[in-house]
Formats: sequence, structure tokens, C-alpha cells
Amino acid sequence: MLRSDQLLYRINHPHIKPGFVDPRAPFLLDIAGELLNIYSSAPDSGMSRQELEEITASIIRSSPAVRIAAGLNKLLTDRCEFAAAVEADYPLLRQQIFLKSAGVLASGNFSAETLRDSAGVPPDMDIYGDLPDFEKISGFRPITPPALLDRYNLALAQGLLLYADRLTVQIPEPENSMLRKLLKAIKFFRLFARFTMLKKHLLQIEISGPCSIFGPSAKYAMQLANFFPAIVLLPKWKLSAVLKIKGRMLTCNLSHKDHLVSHYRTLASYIPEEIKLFHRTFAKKQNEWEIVGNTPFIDAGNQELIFPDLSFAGKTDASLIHLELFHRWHASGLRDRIALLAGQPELPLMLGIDRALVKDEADFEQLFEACPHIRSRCWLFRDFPGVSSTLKALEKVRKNLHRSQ
Amino acid sequence: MIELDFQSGTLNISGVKSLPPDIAKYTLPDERSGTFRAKACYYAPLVLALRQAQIAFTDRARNYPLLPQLALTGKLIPRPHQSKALNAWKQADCRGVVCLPTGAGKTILAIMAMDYLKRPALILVPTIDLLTQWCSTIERFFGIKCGMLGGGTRDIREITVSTYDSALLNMEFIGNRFALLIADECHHLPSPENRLCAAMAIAPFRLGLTATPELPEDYTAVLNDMMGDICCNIGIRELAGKVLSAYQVKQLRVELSGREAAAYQHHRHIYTSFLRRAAIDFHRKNAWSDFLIACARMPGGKEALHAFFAQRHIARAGSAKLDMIEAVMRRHAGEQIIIFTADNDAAYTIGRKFMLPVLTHHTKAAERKQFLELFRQGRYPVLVTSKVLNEGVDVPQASVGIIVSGSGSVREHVQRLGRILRHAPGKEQAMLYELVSANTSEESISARRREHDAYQER
Repeated sequence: MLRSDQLLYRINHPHIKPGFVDPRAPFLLDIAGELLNIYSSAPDSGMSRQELEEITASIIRSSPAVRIAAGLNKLLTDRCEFAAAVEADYPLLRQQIFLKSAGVLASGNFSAETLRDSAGVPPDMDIYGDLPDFEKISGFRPITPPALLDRYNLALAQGLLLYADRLTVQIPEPENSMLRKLLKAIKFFRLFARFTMLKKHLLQIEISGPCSIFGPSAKYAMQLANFFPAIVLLPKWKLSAVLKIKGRMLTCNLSHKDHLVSHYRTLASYIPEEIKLFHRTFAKKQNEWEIVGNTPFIDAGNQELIFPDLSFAGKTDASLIHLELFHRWHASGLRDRIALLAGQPELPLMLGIDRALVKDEADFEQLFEACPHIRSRCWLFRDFPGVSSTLKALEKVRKNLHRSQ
Repeated sequence: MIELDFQSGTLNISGVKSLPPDIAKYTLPDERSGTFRAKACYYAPLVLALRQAQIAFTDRARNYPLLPQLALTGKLIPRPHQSKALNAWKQADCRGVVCLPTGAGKTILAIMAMDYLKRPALILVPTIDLLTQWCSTIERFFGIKCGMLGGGTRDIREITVSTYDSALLNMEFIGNRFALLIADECHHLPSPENRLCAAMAIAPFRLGLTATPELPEDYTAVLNDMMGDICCNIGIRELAGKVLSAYQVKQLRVELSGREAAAYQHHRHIYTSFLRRAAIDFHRKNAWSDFLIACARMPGGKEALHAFFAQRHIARAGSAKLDMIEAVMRRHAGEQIIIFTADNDAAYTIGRKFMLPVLTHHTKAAERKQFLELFRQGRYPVLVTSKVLNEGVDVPQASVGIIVSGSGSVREHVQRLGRILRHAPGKEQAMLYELVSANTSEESISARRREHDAYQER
């Protein structure tokens, strides 16, 4: 992320637009390249944070676009890893020095020189040589100059969204798999969404934090800004956000026509280890079911879109059963889902519930007091469901669904 | 039937199409979920209003038990002002702000409140040092393991201490697990971010603790809304010489050397001329960012920025001040001294020159703990700090404070004074020195921060 003083934008009241740069502009590619050369070589050359700052400051100062260079430099610093300069055990060394100097201080008969001498500190030694300024650069995540400029443009937009408390996104011809990822991102960043079909093929999503209805707050700004790259992944989109900057209310409109590039691209294919393990064990353990690759979403009506975590297809029949997982942060959503399932038992859906959500078995059973007929659809797991319990539940749901058909 | 749920730091009210006005005033219709939503902090009045209106409801929001087993490990004999404060808070329905000077035993008051209520409590503190200090006090008095949230630890228990920052990140998950919310140094609470910590908690009982309740009007309103009104306010002078140490405040004017005075005037002239050219007025809001922008855009900006830092450095930590620090340390040899600076650079300059431990936000946890322990034991007679010791941290052995530099904030200076006011065996009178570079901007900064009853020379 960029700091507020590094943001570039134009205001044409009541509109505000990030000052996007041309990622193919040769002079910008030169600046990016020059900075990258330094950062790429920094870990091997054992450069300290202070040295790096001094060198890059001179490039920034002499650059034809000082603020852009400073912004690029910030993004590059964010890609660095720093390690303490550990040539000496400074804390231990300091303790020995301070205990010696303490005696001299207590005598009341001292000067700066006698204190240093009595503690045995050589004149050229810095007793605070392990401060962050002296940290060494131990690693740097590489990036190309054009990708850095793309990242810079995205960061300009994200930086402005830090002044927003909600986003309105319009998506023409929403495609299921992309929408699913978007909805997952909304869930991941713990945001709320309100869906409206404006026209037949134009979906509007209003995204905000749970507290946002009580008034503007910066609470969700970081979540919204971090969520934004998930929107950029969509092929077509339009975003509008009202920003409060220096007391002025300004509207920021962005769209796919701004040619922003999301760095979340690779995240879409990231599969957590526990899910990989579940897939492997599931395939190994049985031959009745297979996990569906691209899980479709379930339209439960009333703007309720259910995006299951896993979907299972029966190999011998046409059964398709979805699994939705409820973790500790989904307490209220769980009750809503149970109520929905109670009203629509024909939905081919089962629910895995994290034990952290219920106090004990009695508490779990109480969830179904009003709707005992869906008790068999739900079971408890710890952290992530096991294959055996999932299979058991699948068979129960298949039987129930067959019976009701 | 109405259902009340805690949802991500809010109260979700479902199962009803409309609400009577007495209840509706706490809520807003939420089109996103088709329900009503209220700030979590309105849990208590909302539940009371529902009960008064005899409306049946299911309360799934509250998720904390009673703790009848919570008991003090020994007898606690409160000081009269602590009993007075607790009674005032109880009379305010266990919801209010108590103002007590530093060293008057605010933590003990909180222990008394927890012991009285016997319900899960969450204590908010501004720094990691206070986090560990509160935890050890709670463990000592109740003989239980205290939960910690912050500084890389996430251990939530029935009595938990959290930094404001960590609470802000976690309140949407844990805001319904505590009946009592205690905000230490609660003048931090009304900031736009921190106030959400209190807004997202359902805790019906709230105790704000501060030594410096003076806040801008809008912040006072937020504090009252979130924690309750001030229910007890006891000043330093009421307790000085009794509960607190007697103290003396002495300002020492330091003349810059000829060379430094010339350099100061030179840089000051460049800086102030630039301010005039750029029409920057530091009485206005956002002036600092306007100044930085002007420095980046206008000719002479880089020189002006450099001049700003140079003149400030001379005023804050010139060689004459270092000589004065040496003289004061000699005068008070054998006593425990804390040296305060406005910035880390000055703190480390002093630390390097006199071989002294320096405590800043760069100091790692283990060394920070070691510095404080050795200082409390008297094995380190002097501790240098920039701002991390400004608030709360308990170092009763300190009897001398040297303010080398600081901001114009009254709060900062009252808090710094508070560091040396705690009673300790053998401590007769605390002494606070304020070093001010003569004929520099420090003189006006000093005048601003001394606008407090406690900070006048006596």
C-alpha cells in the first residue's frame, strides 16, 4: 500500500480519479528498472536498511517524477524482508555496559568520556548498532518493471479506497465462476454484500462492513481496499465509491477500462493444504462419489446465493450434493442457513459446522429444535471435516432426497 | 419472536417487521440482511427497552457466563479515594469514567470493580507494556491466568487484557464475550478507530480510567456515549503528599552555544520564510501534510524541509542540553531518573553519549522487560525514553524526571509528571525538570504544555 502523501489523484469536483500512470512509458520503466536493480542486488550485497534508503533517496530526488518514484520505492520496500544485524549479541553487550556505567553514574563523579571508558566501550563502537536502520536486507520478492507499474496503478486506486466505507460494483453479464470467487472474497474479507439485478444481465453489488450502516468509518477501509483486486479480476466491471478526503465528499469511479491489473491472479488457483488433503483422502477412500471441479452456486431465491465449499457428484446416479462449511465466524449465517434449509428441504445441501460454533452436543441439537427434519443434513467437525463423516452425511442426504422425490 | 444476535460487532435484530419507537431508536433497518441492526454497545438499553415493552425475545447475542468463583486471593484494603470512586461508579449503574491521577491506583480500582461484578471482563490498554503490567496485577489479585490479546499473543480468557489495536481487529469476534469493558487511559478511546472497540462490544458494564480527561468537545461526547459520564474526578493536588509523592517542577532555560544559536537562526529563517511563501498556517488542520506537499512541489521545498529538521534538532537536543542533562544527573546521583525526549533520535543521542539504556518502540520485548526490571531494582539508575513511558507504566522508584523535549500537549506532560509521582519507600519528594532552549520555538511549546494546574511550579 502507498502512504497518503504518496497518492496521486486529480479532483474535478465532485469526482476524484487516481493519477494512473502509463505502465509502458519509457521514462517510468527506466525509474522502475533503476530502483529494481538496487533492490534485486540488495540481499546479496548485505545492504542495510539505512544504506538502501540513502541510495534510493538519491534516485528519487533526481527522478523526473519524484512522487511516482517515491511510490514505486514504497512498493518495493514492502517486498523486502529484513533481518537484524546479528554480528553481536547487542542486548547482552548493552546489559554489561549499563551495569558498569550504573556504578559510575551513582558516584556522581563522571563525564561522558569517563562513562564510556569505565564501561570499556571502544570509541568507534555504536552501542545501539542493532536498530532497524542497521537491519540487513535478507530477501526481496522479484517483480518486473512493467508489473511494478501495474502494481503501482492498483495501489493508487487502493490508496483512495482507504477513504471509502462502501463500494458499489456493477457487473454486466455476471459469469458464475468469477462471481463465486468474488463472493468468496467478500466472505474472506468479512464484508457484507447486497445484490440487486438492475437489468436482466446487470448485477449490482453494494459492499460494505457490518457497522457501515451506522455511519462512515475507516474500520472496513483496509478490508475494502484489500478486496478491490478481486473486482479487478472480473472481465467487465464498474465501481463507484464515495470518498471523504479533507472534509470533501468525492466520488471515485473506476472500471475495467482503466486497465488495472490484479495481483490476486495466482490466489484464485491457491488451494489450502487441508483441502488438498481432503481431496486426496476422499478419492482414495471410496469409489461412490467424486468431487465436482467447478462448484456451481445455488440460487435459493430472495437474492440468496449459496456458494458451497465443495460439491459431490454420485458416480452411479445423478446425485449432486453440495457442502457448505460454517466456521467460528459464521455463527449468525449458520442459523440463517438452517432456517432456509428448513423452508426448502429439497435443496441438495448439507452443512458442516465447526465445533467452535456450538458449546456442546446439546447446544448443537438445540439448533434443530424447530426443524428436526434437517438434523441429518448437518454434522460437527473440528477445523476441517473428515472424509468419513462427510461420506456418512452424503449417504444420509442422498437417501433423504430420494425419499422426498 | 424477536431474535437478537451478535454479528460481526453489531446486533442483528431479526424475526420482526417493525419495532416500537423506544426500541427502534437504537436500531436502523438493514436492507442488506432484511433485518434491523444496532451498535453492539446499545445491547443493554435495547434489552431493557424490550423487557419494559414486555416484548418476548430470544437473546443469542450475549455469550458470557457469570463468574461466582472469581475471588480475590487475599484481602484488599482500598484507600479512601478508591472506595469513593468505586461507590460513585456503582451509583452510576456501573457505567462511567473515573479520573484519578497517575499513581492513585486505577488498576486496583478496576480489580475492585471486577471483584464486585464477578463477570467476564475485557481491559483495553494503549501499550504492550501496560498489557503485561495489567496481566500480572490481575493474576496476582485473582490467582487466575489472565488472557492476553496483543504483542503477538492471542489467548482469550474470561478476564482478558488487550491493546486497543488488537481489540479493534478482534472485537467483531469477541465483542459478545464480556460483561465488563474497562478502558485504561480512556482518553485514547474516542479516536475514530479506537471508539469502534467500545462500539462493537455488548458489555453492559463499562469503566473508563484516565488521569487526563480533558478532550475536545466531540471526543468527550463519544467517550460519554461509549463509557458513560465522568462519575468521579480526583485531581493530583488532592492526593499529592498523601497517596502521591510531593513534587516540584523546575524549568531550566538552556542557552544555545554561539555556533548552535547561529545555526538555529539560519535554519529557522529558511524554514519560516518558506512557510510564509507557501501560506502554511500550522493553526489550520492538515497543515503538516500541506507543508510536506509544498516541500515536494515548490522551489526551495527540499531546503525548507531540511532546515525544519535541523532547527528542531538543535532546539531539542543541542549540546547545551546534553551538558545540562549531565549536570542534573550529577546533582541527583543515587536517585532513579527518567529522561524524556520528543523523538527517538534525541533519546539515542543521549543514550550513546552517557551509556544509558534507551526505551523506544524499537526496543524488543525481552530487552524492554529487562530495562524496566533492572530500573525498578535500582541497578539501572537512569532510563531514557521517547514516548513509550509516557503513560501508565509503573516505575514508582523514579523520583526525578528530566524532560529534554516534548510536544505542546498538556496531556503528555501531565502523564510524564505522573511517572515520578508514585509513592515508594524512602521517596520524599519527586522532582521534574523541564529543559527549554532559550530563544527558540521551544519556549512557546513549553508555555502551551504547562497550561495545567498540576504542572505549575510550586
